[in-house]
Amino acid sequence: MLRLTLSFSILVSLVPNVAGAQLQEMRQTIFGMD
Amino acid sequence: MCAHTVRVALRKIEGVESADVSLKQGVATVRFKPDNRIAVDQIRDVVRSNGFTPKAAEVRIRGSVIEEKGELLLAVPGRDQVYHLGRDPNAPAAIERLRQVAGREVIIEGTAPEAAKGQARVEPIRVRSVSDVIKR
Repeated sequence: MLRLTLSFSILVSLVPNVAGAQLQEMRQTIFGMD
Repeated sequence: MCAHTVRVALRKIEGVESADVSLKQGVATVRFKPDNRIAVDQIRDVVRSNGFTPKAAEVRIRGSVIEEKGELLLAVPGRDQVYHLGRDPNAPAAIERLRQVAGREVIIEGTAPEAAKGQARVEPIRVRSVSDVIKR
């Protein structure tokens, strides 16, 4: 029982953080349109 | 076609929180919702399809720093968005900081250079600052 609990803890610590690669803000310089 | 057209088109993209376009300043400012899946190129495609030419952009992006074969990337496992990260000549310390935080989730600020014509290779984002993500 103790062994199972320990294995579970290790697995959790290996799960990658998937909070997200996200654009938060962008200031895009634009050119054109006379 | 005018600023209004671009603004409306940008606001229609799923994941965009707000978009403002100033032709006087020559800038489109876009803010994004949390958990959006928008890529820099997607915004540039919309700008282009509305008759404007996208030049360099200032960006703030959240992601995990990965060092792979000497290259620094900003990515998240399971998603196909990967940004190449490079050195900003005006902020050389930022690239060293990136190497120190490899494997961690951070927020980077920098310049996404204008896409070179006819080149498949994506120019790296020139990173100006790196900050830790404050966990809620």
